[in-house]
Amino acid sequence: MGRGGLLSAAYPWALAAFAALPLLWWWHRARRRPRDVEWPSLLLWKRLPVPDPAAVARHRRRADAALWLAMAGVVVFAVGAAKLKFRTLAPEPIRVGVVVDATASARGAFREIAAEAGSFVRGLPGDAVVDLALVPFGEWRGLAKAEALDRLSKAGWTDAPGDVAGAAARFAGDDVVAAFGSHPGPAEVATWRVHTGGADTHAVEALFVADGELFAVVRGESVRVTVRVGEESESVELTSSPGGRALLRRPAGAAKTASVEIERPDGFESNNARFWAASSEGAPVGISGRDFPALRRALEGAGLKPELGGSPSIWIGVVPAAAPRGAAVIIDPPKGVAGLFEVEGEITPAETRIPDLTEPLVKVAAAADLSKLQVSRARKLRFLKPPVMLVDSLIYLCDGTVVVAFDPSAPNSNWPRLVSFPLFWADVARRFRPSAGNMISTGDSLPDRHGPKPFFRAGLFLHNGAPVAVNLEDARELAEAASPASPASPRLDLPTKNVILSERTVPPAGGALAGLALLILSWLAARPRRR
Amino acid sequence: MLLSSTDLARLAALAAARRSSAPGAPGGARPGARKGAGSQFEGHRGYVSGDDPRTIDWAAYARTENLVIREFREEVEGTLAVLLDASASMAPWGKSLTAKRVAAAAAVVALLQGDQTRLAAFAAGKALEPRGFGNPKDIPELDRHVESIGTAGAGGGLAAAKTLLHARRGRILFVSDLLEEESAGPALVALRVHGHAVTVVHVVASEEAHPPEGLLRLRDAETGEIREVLFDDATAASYSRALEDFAGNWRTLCASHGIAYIRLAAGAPLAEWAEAVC
Repeated sequence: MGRGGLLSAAYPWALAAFAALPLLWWWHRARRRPRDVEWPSLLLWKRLPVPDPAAVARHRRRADAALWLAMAGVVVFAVGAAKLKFRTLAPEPIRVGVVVDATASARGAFREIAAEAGSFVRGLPGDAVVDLALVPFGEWRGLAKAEALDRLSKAGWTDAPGDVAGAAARFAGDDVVAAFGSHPGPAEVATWRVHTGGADTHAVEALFVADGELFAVVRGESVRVTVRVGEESESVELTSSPGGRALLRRPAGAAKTASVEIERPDGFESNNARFWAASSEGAPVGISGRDFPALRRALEGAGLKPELGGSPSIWIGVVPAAAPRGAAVIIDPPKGVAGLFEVEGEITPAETRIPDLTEPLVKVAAAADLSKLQVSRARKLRFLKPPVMLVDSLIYLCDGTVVVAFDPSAPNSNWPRLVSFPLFWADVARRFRPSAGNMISTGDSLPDRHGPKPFFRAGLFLHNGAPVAVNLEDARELAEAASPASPASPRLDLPTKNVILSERTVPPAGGALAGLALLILSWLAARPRRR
Repeated sequence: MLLSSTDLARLAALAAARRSSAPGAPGGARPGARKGAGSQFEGHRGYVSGDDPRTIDWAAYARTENLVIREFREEVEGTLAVLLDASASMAPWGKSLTAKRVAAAAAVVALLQGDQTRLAAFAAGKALEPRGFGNPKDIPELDRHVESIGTAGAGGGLAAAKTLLHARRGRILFVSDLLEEESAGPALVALRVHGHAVTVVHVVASEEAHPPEGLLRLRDAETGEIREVLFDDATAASYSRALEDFAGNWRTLCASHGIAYIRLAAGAPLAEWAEAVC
């Protein structure tokens, strides 16, 4: 990571003085025009050779001391008057929280867990700062990579109970938090970070279930949330210091579902946070998403039932045995019009238990062979009317988990951003196992003009049997994904932070005075001289 | 006033000294600048082939058995003709003023010595109407006259010099910057051959030797001719050489023909040149 510089000006309009540089050149040329001089007689001059026109032209072009002084004067004056500030920047190391479950629940799998954690740490940037929690042994903050690896290599498991989720929650302020354990579900992924943009001061940044408890990291000084765990619902007031975060912790028990929703003062329903937690029993499938007729019928047809009801709903069901396991299928948004975009490629009818599909768009989903609808198909997705804000919803299915992401355009933008997307990436990350080599950003560093990057454009595909995520907005990633020879390589898209190492300001008065002094010197140097 | 009372006093003293240095000389007759036929004994020198045998000092031969000849200073007539350059080239840098002061000073000394003085300016390629002065009382009028002479046009030194070819022998003072297409040199030599005592005062301004640097469009003050010059180091060297050659040629010409040559800086005080010029 190299250092960089930053240049800023307190009075940038003063830099307009640079426009005087061409004028100086013009002045120089004018000054170099032949000067009319009356001479007593040309008698002697006629005895001298006639000047070479090329030499005369060279003489007129040649910059002299007066010109250099004047130009330097203008530059120094402009720089001084603009009050330029030079900053030397250096990338700030990222801070990564690593939580490793060494409790009894990791019995039998601890070496594998520790190895994965070690692989993750090794893949971090060299200057990364590691906050390491070996639950229940202890926590170490501010470790270098080598130290963290050393501790990981020496770690072992214990029968003592521990609070993995609590440790992860304590690292919630880190840039990335990764937890390694044997628990299924999103808890295994530990945390996902949701960035809601500057205007949204309240957000649920992380949600997970671990050791039978629900944890939520909620940003906001004073936030009231509705917590639903299974059938139970509770309203909780959370407070934190300004700019801080509050940790919500509730017993999850055997509940299959849980959600945390920020209550808005205006009474409107907020989609700021929903959470789906899958049970580790059987082969459940959870679907979170807005309740719209087409989807409802599709999911009901698939044998899923809404568990919590309301809007949005969380649907729990069992993945049909015949449902293909694969990457992604793209369906048209409910308000879209068939034919607005096309899915190219081979679409073969698959055996399905989804009956009676009336919505043509859902038929597409039902008919798709998910294993064949890979990102190459998504890449060829063509919007016939690009200006139309039709956002492709995304259903993806992997390891028995179905996540549906919906139209993120207004007024539903919060939902996928805060809920579906974290779930989506959580699942992606779980499949990849969190490691530096294939950790995928949650979109926090994907800038957008109006806020966070719409993550609904993310795609998931299989490459050589391995799932690979790709940002559909990124032409380069798409190109890579389309090429079997160079499979897309998900990157650890860590946030970039800079710190100011030094700051120097050109003294404005001194600079301007020096510039004026140079201009005066230039004027003196430009005066005609005699030999 | 071209000449201040101080200048006049200095010139009067100079004239008095000149008179006392020529004892016995008849009125108006003063030793000339050239050796040759005359009544004032100057000295001996060895005989060389071609010398007039009449000048051999036989008494000295009797004593030393060496042939030596006796030299006499030539006597000149008691007249002074001043040829003053009033061309446009004299205008810049005070050359004209200096030339007029030289002319006036020489005329004043001549008048104080009792000589007849004729002053003729030349300009625009010709000699202007000469003006004669014969009495020291004319000095104020002389001063006014010389001061009123303006500068215009090209030179006319050659023409002016030619007007004196048939004049009575006497002293001729030629005051000019010598910057003329048609050099007055041959005419001055002819005057010398005719027995005139000729003095050339070459008035030079220091500015002439130091033109401004850079690209110049020079305009001839006399003819209006234009010439573009890039005055850089190389040109400066060439110009300086040409200037020195020009003065050197005049100096050589004068020396080879018994003409006195005086180079005078414009603006030089009278004390510096009065004795040499007058």
